[in-house]
Amino acid sequence: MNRKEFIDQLKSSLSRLPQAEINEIIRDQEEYIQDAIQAGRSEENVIASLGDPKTIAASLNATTQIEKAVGATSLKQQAGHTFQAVFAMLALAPFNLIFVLGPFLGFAGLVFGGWVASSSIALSVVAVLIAFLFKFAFASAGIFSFLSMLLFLLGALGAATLALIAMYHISHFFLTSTIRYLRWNLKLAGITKN
Amino acid sequence: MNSQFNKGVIEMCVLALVKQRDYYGYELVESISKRIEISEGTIYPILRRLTQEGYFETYLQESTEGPPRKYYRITTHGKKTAEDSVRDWKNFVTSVDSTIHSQEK
Repeated sequence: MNRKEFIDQLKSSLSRLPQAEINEIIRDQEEYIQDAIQAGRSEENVIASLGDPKTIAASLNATTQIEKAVGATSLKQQAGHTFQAVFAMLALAPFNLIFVLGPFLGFAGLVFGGWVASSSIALSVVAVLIAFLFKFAFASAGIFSFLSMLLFLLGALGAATLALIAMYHISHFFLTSTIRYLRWNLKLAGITKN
Repeated sequence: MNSQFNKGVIEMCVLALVKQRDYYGYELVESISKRIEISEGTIYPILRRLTQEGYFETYLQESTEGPPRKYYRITTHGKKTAEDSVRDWKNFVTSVDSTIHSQEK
């Protein structure tokens, strides 16, 4: 591989990062290669000892996604960056992470299922409540049966809201733990000989 | 050196070197790969991560030979982490050493 091929491969493997970041990384790599050549080494020698550009890119991608997940301001953002970080790490250390992927997807499935269940319960309670209020407007049921039914439905609505809030915290905890694990793993993994 | 040994240790070496003075990329890799056998490409992601995590800050400086060089300078946060991990490492080496020698007797 020559210098141009190395830079091109690196660039294409980084394509998910913001352009400014890609430019900076390429600038740094060019500086490095230039310094090595000035120190009297051949271009092939430097490129060979830099290793696979895809590995370097995977490590950079994982770092960036992890940092973005840590700094995420919404649950949706955090989830997006965590998933991207998991897949970037997978490209970096497949043997290291293959055992992590199963449990991760399993938990992610459970969390997703929890969201579907709690939000459908919340929606049905709201639907029943609306239907009940409409029905009451047209039929003349006793005030006591109306009140008891209304209290029951409001109670159910409260329970469903609590379930949604719990899901929010469970998701947040799950994503934060995953990121913490990935960060730790990244510090230890990815150092290889040629 | 077995690559298993390098895990985490390289990061400490990077921190410890930059704590002594400002380095640019190539110079830093040279200082490490002179003694420890590693793929040169693994250092840059570590430098970038340590910078993103706030251990280092960078600045560009013109060089006489070519394009400007990016220098890495340690922050207060980085300095503290470097001191802690070097101390942990020394304790670890001492314990390993005394364990090995107690087995030899």
